[in-house]
Amino acid sequence: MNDSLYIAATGMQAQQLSIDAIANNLANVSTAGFKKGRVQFQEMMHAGPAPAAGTAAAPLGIGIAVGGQVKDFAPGSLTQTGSAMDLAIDGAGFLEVTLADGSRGYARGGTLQVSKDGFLAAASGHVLRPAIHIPANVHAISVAPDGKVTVQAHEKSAPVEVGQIELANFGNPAALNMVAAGVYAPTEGSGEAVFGRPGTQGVGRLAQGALENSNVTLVDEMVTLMVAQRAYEMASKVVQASDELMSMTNNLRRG
Amino acid sequence: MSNAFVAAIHSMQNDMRTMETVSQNMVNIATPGYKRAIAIAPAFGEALAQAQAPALQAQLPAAVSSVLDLSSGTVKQTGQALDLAISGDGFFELETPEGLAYTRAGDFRRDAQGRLVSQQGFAVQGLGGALQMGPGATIDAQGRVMHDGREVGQLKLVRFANPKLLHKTGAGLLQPASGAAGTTDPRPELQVGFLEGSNVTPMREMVALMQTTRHFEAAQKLYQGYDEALGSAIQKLGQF
Repeated sequence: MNDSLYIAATGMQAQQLSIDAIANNLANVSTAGFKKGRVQFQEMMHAGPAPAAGTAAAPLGIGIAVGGQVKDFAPGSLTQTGSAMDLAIDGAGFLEVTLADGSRGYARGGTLQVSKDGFLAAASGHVLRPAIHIPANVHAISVAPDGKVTVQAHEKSAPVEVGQIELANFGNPAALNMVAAGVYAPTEGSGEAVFGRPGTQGVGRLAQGALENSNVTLVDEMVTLMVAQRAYEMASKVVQASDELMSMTNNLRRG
Repeated sequence: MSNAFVAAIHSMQNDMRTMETVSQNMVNIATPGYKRAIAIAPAFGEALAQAQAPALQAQLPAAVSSVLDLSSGTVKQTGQALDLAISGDGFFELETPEGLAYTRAGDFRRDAQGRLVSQQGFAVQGLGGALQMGPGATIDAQGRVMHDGREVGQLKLVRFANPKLLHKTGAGLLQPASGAAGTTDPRPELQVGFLEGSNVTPMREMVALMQTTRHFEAAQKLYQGYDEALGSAIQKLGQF
């Protein structure tokens, strides 16, 4: 049968997925803490029919496969916001949070909030782990670069330590799976979380009053989009050509 | 069946196989490290002789074979610390369930155990087995894995005296024909943060696509013309 038609179809599907990923990246070009996704292409082959004696079976190309979408956790640049509740991680690492089902999730900072029970929570509303209780009616909360959280009851009062933020890191963060807005869950491929105080063991320091920008770069996305669009077009030409071949085959018998 | 019919059908079937090779190249235009295949059709005379040989007539026609074009693809900057492009000759060595395999695709990542692996998850080999990349470890342009300023590993690049002996395996990786061993490159040179793309040139493939389509059309016309000649011959004979 005419396999080139199906090979071309895999090409169109793969480029379609790539364009979907680019669209998502472009839409989040100014979302704080957003990490861009990229589709990985792999050549798809299958071993041919059983070879004749003495000859090696040549694997046949059957198109292109999408090896999955990976997240690029390259750090984004930091923007100073001056808001005491904005927290960014300057370098690698994740804040650990408790998800609704009790399991652990990991977030890249953002605008923190205080939950209705008085616990410090990530932008998504999930409470940090270990939980840090913020007393009611405090004047100021401050987070030191090494993760120490202190509060001041009044402008003049001495800061009181209420908790310590630890950061988690993974062997392969690219395999993390997004489970809620900006919150990731570990997978088999990401490895176990390794904890460290901010600024130690390869994890970054904390920056209060700053937000991490999206790591999407417009030029990269535009170039990738152009390549994807042209590759899609090219695959569609192969579909046309294969169709022509089939039409000619049908016209072998005229009249 | 008449020889002209056999030759035309044979030629059309070979064109179909050529189309598969061309389309495989075209869809992999953005696959890192992809090496294009060149379809080689047997000469027309050869094909005709084969079709004429009575012993071979019952068999399927000899399929178009293909060879690999191992020239390097364009290198693009990605800025990813684990994207490696090889400057010059050589291949990365990967450990797969089917034995050692080779590739020029350097879009590597860390796996859960901290090993450097290919996108399919095959461990990249260093001089002392699988390459370990703990958190914070980096790789430099000579393939040395550095951790806290100390060298903890060395990436292995393998050169083949005759790369023509390499063939593709099921995963799109390269494997040498039995007996063709490579030699370890003593001074590997890499570009870190760069990725070698596919070596497919859209122009060349597009021309091949058109050529194949037209060749197919020519064979179809040959078939139709011969069919017509036969038809009118039978008609004329019937008038007597």
